[in-house]
Amino acid sequence: MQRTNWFDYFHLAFLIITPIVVLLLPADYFDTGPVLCPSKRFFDIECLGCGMTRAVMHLVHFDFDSAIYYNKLSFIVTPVLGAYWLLWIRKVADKIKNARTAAGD
Amino acid sequence: MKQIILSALCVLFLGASASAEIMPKTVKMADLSSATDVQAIDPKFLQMGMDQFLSLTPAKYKEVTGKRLGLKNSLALKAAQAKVKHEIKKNDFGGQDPAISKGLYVLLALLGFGWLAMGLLSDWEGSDWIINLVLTIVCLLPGLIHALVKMKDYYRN
Repeated sequence: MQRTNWFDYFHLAFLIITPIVVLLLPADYFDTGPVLCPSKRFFDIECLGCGMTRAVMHLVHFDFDSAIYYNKLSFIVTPVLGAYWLLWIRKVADKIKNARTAAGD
Repeated sequence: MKQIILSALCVLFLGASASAEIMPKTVKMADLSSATDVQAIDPKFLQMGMDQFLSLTPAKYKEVTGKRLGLKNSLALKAAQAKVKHEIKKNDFGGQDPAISKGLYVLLALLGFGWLAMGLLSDWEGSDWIINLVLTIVCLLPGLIHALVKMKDYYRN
């Protein structure tokens, strides 16, 4: 018999709360700070992912100019990430539902 | 081997007599060959200082002018900034030649003497070389990483 694991509840809560927190934070929250990309850090060359966090953050706040400025690939990554995130939520929710059904709740 | 390292160190110390202070000269935007690209976005950008232009973002532009930069101009701004940065690196405006070459810097860093290279380049000022020395003593690898991270502060091309 599959039992509902508390971890699944935390997992689901994390998946739901994270996008809300991201939306509540100001769009320029990640604009300042240290450079973490090794390519940029060691060789001063921007990789394809450089600026993606900032770009996605601006894009979810509908600041398209800044999003395209920081990383134009964010226009592809953000919808894919959103869709994947929803699938992930559904998967965890189904897991909890099945465990509860099996337990006879 | 010991003698080779010692003689190499002596040569380096003698070479360090020339100061390696890197002071960027004030260069106007209009002086650059990429000025036409910059002017195409907004002619006001040419009156800006180099640092001001390089740190410009669409959000800052909106803050200052009250107008949106637009998607096309945002991309053009990024491209122009990259061009200007490249031109600065290529022409090496101002500054003196560093005391040691980039290759020697990397070699010293690999051998665990990154702190020595940093010290020579900064004229033993600042805390970078001390931090690197401590990191190298702790273990070679953190010192090497620190030296490579800091390398772009001493060499601009």
